[in-house]
Amino acid sequence: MSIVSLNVNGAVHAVDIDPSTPLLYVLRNDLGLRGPRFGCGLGQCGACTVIIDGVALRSCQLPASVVSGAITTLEGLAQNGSLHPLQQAWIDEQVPQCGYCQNGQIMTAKALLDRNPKPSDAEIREGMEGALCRCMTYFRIQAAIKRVVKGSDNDQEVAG
Amino acid sequence: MSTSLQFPKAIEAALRSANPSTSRRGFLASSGALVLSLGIGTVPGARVLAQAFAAGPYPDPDFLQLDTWIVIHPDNTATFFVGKTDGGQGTGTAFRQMMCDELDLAYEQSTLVMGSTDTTPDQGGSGGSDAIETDGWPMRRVAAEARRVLLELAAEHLKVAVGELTVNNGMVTALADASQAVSYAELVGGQRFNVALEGRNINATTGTAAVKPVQQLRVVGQSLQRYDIPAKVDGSLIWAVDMKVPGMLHARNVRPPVAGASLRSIDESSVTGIPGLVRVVSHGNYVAVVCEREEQAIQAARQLRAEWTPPAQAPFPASNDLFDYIRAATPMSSSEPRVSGDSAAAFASAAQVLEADYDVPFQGHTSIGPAFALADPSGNQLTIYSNDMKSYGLRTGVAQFLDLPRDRVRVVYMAGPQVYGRTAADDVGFEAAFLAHELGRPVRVQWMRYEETAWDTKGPAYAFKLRGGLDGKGKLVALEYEARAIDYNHLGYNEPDTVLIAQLMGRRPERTAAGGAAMPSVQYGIPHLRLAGHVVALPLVWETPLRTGNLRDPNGPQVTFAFESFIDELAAAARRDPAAFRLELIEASTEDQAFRRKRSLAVLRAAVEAYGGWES
Repeated sequence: MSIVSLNVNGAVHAVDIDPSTPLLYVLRNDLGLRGPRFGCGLGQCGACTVIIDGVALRSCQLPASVVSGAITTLEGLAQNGSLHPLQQAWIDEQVPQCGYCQNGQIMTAKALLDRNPKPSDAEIREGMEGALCRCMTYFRIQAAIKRVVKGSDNDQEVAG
Repeated sequence: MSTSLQFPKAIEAALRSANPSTSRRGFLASSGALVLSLGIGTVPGARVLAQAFAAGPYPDPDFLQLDTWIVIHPDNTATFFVGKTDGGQGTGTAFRQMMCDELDLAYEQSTLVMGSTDTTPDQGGSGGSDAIETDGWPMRRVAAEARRVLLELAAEHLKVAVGELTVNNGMVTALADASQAVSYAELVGGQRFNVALEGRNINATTGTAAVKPVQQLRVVGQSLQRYDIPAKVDGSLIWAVDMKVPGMLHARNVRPPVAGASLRSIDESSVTGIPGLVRVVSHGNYVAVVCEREEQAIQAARQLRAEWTPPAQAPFPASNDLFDYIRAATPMSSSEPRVSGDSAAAFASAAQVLEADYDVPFQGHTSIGPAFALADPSGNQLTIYSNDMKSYGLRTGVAQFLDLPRDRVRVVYMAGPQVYGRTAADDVGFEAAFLAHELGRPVRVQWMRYEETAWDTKGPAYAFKLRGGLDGKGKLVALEYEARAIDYNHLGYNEPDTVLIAQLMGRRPERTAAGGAAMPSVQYGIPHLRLAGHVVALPLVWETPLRTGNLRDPNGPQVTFAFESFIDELAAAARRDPAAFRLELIEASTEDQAFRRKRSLAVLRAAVEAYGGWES
């Protein structure tokens, strides 16, 4: 066991863990976060996705001790009590069925839009392809992402 | 009577999760202590809290008491308690709509508690896609009865006849004088109704009030947003997998490496070095490791050296030979063929006869989140936190499995990954209960992905043979359908002798479930028809990971794939457009029970239209 320091959603936490412990279990079990969740433990489904320094990563495959960047989880997306536009779009489009995978969908979409604010349909599909949904909500996911893209266009028009 | 009670964090979490809209109101005191009236609450869900504190026993909520279903709170909101579960279908939202309508409450004035065996009446949990169609009726009737009782109380309170009252959003007003008003909360908020209901079973539950005619429904018919979604996208919902209780241990299973293998020995020294190891548990061929931390349990399960004796011969046909095997096997049972007309004679005089075979492999349930359960044996009781859609069945099954009095076991239903039929949520619930019972500590069991893929229930594999006869004009005159399904050990739900841990411990049911080879629900008018089905078994009936069970629309995908693919083949042979070919076949049908013929025509026409560029 050793002390590992993690910057999560703007706060620094020190946890006493085996350094090889995957980040997922530290976030869930030591820090009590519920956004990232276990789906496969193999980095294949995306349910455990977090954003580290702007990049969407699979926390189930990442030893906590190697993470030095700022970690954002689903809980960290809302700012000052307001949902992130993606979260709001997920509600507006009623995206989830069971909702278990949606952490990974939203976090993957967040990283996608941060690096490409106006993705084409093809770019959305490509950017989201590694995030699996057993309920087949992919079409609503795409609609929600497009809703955010469209919303940001309108914002700019208003501002301009 | 009121009392101050220490508020366990675990229960808080469970209750908040069971009712996200309530949790968002933050009704739970942050101090961790709560004052509440026993019996009926001063805050939403207080009855749940009161019962949650109790160390048991947990008698079945009495469905013939109105208080079991509906609680009116002092803030003029209501909590509904229903014995169903919502795996993301949106049924919870619909239940609230239906009950609010009957009770003349606004949707926002309601909260809902579902599927927790000690607080909600046993409506069986989910299954059969009939939540609205069947279980919604008693909900509507009890809500209508609550409205009737409330109106009588209001009449007494306002000295105005019931017939001269109106009610809107839980506020009862005299028609003649709007200043004469009283709210539901003023009438019964925080008190019991103490009204008995009637009904020989839960589906028949009713009071004396009639439900509203459909024309008067205002909340039903609105396309409302699901109330559970906001908490699912902001991370605030506490799912079953998020439950934590003090002293909780983490377990992982160690499965036999091949089907039918028997455990010979375990070398515990292979894991003694793992920090946090609490115990290696084995019973028959069931093996699990239990550790203080989750990653330790994963490591221990990976590292444990166990010796297994494989079965004497390769038990299964190879995957490539599966369908040959199914076709050649002697059926374990055959259903009575469904026959109309004389297909043999019709084939003899048909202008064209087509034949086709279809194969459908086993289909895993493979939930996006592998099976999970947490069992807490504290206080000489067993509380299981689970997303088993049939929480009542889990409770009864576990009580039987562990030989515990049923009223010492309860299941708290919480959100989980999708449950499309009989999932491994059943199996893991028993495992958690067994381990918690064995260790005397709360145990969280999480299946790994490979377990879910290998050992969860499977939709049965099918082999089909279809024959069709067309007349000289390309009209379908005869059809024969023969299905063979590997479904001999079809699992029920939460059965103490067929759940996986029972299988591995060597428990065997007296007989296999019959299983079935489904037949299509033919909506086509075909003059000569013969439908037959046979159930086939694999070797190692009770040692197999190929445990068949219901997968959403049980057998529907297999049967529809074969049957409708063949209709396409027939249309092609008849040189007809497949949509037009089907429309004619439906039109030729005389059976229109429940508007089946009309609906089939409408659906097909709508599909063709929606497709846009369909060219006949």
